Amino acid sequence: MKYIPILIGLLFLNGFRINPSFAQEVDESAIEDGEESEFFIYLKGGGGDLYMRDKTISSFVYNGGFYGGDIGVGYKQSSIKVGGKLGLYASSPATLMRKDFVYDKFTKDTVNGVKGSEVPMTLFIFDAHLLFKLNNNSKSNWSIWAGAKMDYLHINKKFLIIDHQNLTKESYFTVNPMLLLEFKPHARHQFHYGLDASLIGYGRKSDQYNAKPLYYEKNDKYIEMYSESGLATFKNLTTVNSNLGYRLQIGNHFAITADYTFSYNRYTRPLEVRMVRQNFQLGVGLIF
Amino acid sequence: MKNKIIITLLASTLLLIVGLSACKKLLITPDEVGNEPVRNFELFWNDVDKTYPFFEDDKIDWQAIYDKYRPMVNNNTSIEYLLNILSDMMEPLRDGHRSITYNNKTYFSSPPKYKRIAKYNFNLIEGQYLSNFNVKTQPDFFEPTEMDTTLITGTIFGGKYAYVGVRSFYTDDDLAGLVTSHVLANSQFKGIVLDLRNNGGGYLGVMWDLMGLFTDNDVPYATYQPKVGPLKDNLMPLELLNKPDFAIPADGTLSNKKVVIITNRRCYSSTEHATLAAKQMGIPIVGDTTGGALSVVVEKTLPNGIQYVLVNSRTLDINGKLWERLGVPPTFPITTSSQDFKTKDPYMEAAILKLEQMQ
Repeated sequence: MKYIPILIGLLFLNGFRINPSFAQEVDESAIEDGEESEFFIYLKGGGGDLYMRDKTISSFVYNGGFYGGDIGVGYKQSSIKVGGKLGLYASSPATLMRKDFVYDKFTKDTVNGVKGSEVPMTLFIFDAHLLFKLNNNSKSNWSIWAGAKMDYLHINKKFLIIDHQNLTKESYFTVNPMLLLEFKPHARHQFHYGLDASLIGYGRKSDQYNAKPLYYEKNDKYIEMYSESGLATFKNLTTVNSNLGYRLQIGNHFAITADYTFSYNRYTRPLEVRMVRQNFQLGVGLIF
Repeated sequence: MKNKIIITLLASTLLLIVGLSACKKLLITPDEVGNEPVRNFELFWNDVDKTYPFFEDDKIDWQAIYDKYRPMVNNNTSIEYLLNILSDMMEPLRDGHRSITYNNKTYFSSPPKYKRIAKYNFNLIEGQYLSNFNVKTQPDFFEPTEMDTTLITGTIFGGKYAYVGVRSFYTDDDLAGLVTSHVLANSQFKGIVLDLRNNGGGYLGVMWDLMGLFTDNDVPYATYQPKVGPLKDNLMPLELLNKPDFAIPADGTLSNKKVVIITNRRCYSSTEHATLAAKQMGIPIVGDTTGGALSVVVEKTLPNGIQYVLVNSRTLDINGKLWERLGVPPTFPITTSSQDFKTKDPYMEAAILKLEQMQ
C-alpha cells in the first residue's frame, strides 16, 4: 500500500514523457477548455485501507484493506460540470485488541464465517455533483469550480454478539458543498483536487439479528433489533471527501486516470461510528 | 519550468497523502494494543457492555463505571490491582452468578449482601428427624482441597418417608441412581422429602436426571432469552423464543412416590430450575423463596488469564415471567420465628405434614 503514492508519481512522470506520436494525434484545439463540451465515462478500480470505530459493536478500532471500483460519468461545458458515480467496495477490518480473548468451550468464536474480532462489510456508494466555473479566463491552466454534491453511502456490516450474528445497515445521504480545482498544464494532462463536506443530511442505522444459526427450524431470517433514523446536521452526520486525481488523455477519445481519495464519515446515532477510508484507484475512460 | 511543475505536483501529492494518512489517527484515536493491562480492561468492559442482559433491571450506568475506573489502569498496572479493579466494577451488577478467578483462586463472587439468611441446620435435622443417614462427599468444585457434601440420604423417624438432601448439582456422581437405590431399597417408603436447601446449583443435566425420576412425561418448564444485539435492551424478542428451551426428561422410576421439596434463600441456579420444574410437575414446595439467579452463565478468559463468569441471557418460566433477583417462591411459604431452627425445623415439619396430607 505504501508504494501506491510512488506508482502514482511514476505515472505522472511517465505521462509527461509518453510517446509524442500520441500527442500529435490529439486534436488539442478540440479539448481546450471553453472550446467544446465533453462527455466522459469511466471505470475505476483499486483499494486502500479502512479504519473504523463503531461503538455499537465495541469501542475498539477495526482496521483492514478496502477494495472495489466505481463506474461514473461526467459532462462538462464551458462553465458547468455535472457528473456522478456508482461504487461497490468490500472490506473486512479486524481489531488486534480481541486477540486471545476466549469464551468457554460451548460458545463459538466464528459463526457463518464471521469471527468475533472482525467486521466484514460491503459499501455501496452513489454520488452526483453539479459545479459552476468560477474563473472565466479560458487561457488559464487553472479552473476553479464550486457547487454541490449529493453523497449517498450504504454500508452492511456483520459482527458477533457472543455467538449471535448481527447485520447492521447504515445509510448516509448528505448534501455537500464542493470545491474543485483543475490544473491542465498540457492538452493531454489534467490534475484535479476536489473537496466536499456535508452540510445537512439524513442518516439511518438499523441492526438485525440472524436467528438462523441457533433457531434454524423456526427462524431463518433477520430480525430487526433496533432502528434509528432522521435528519441530521454536520454535528451528527459528517461526511468529508478529499480527492486528488490525474487524467492522461490518449488520442481524442481515450484516457487513463489515477486517483487518491480520503473519506471521513461520522454518525452519532444510536452510538457514534467513525470511519476513515483511503482509496487509491486506477481507471480508464472514454471521452466524447 | 515543466520539471518544476512536476516536482511541485508530486511533492504536493505526497504531502497530501501523508498528511491525510496521519489525519486518520487524529480523527479516530488508536487503541493501546501493546498496553496489556489496558487491553485486558477494555476487553472486559466491552464484553460486559455488549453481553450483560440486566443493565436496565440493575439500573447500572456501565459507561460511568468505565469513566471511573479506566483512568486507574495503565501500562504499569499489576495483575493483582487489575483484579481488584475488575472486582469493583462487577460489584454493582446484581446478577447472582458473578465471579472472577485467576490461577484457580476466586477473587470475587456475588457479594455477601446477596447471600441471605439460610434457614437450614443439618445437625438439627439429623438429631430430630432422621433415624439413619448416609453422606456422600466429593472435593469441592471451586476449592478442590476441601471436601464438600453433595448428597445426604436417610430415613425419617417412623420409616414412612425417605429423606434426600441434595447439596450440590456440581458432581459427576450419578445422583439420580443413588437416590433411586436409596428409595427403592426400602419398600416402606411412601414418600420423599427432597431437601434442596443451601444447594448453590451445578450441572443442569444432573438436576434433570434427578427430577426426571418423578415424572412419566417430559416436563417443559422454562425458556432461554439470549442477549443477541449490541444495545442494552437487545434481547431476543419474546415472540421468537423457542418456547420452551428447558425440559425435564421423563424417567418415571419414582413417579409412584409422593414428593415434597424444601427450598430456602440459598438455592441458586440449577436448583431454582428444579423448583420451576417442580411447579409444572405439581410437586409441592415448602420453605422460603430461592436466591434468584436462574440464568445461564458464560465463562470468559482474558488474554492475561483472568477468568470471569457472567450471564448473557435471561431464564423465563413457562409463562414468560422473569424470576431473576426475585427468586422462585415456594407453593407453601412457611413463616418462622427466632426460636425456629434451634429445637425444630419448621420446614421439615411442614414437608412431613404435607406428605401426610398427600397420602
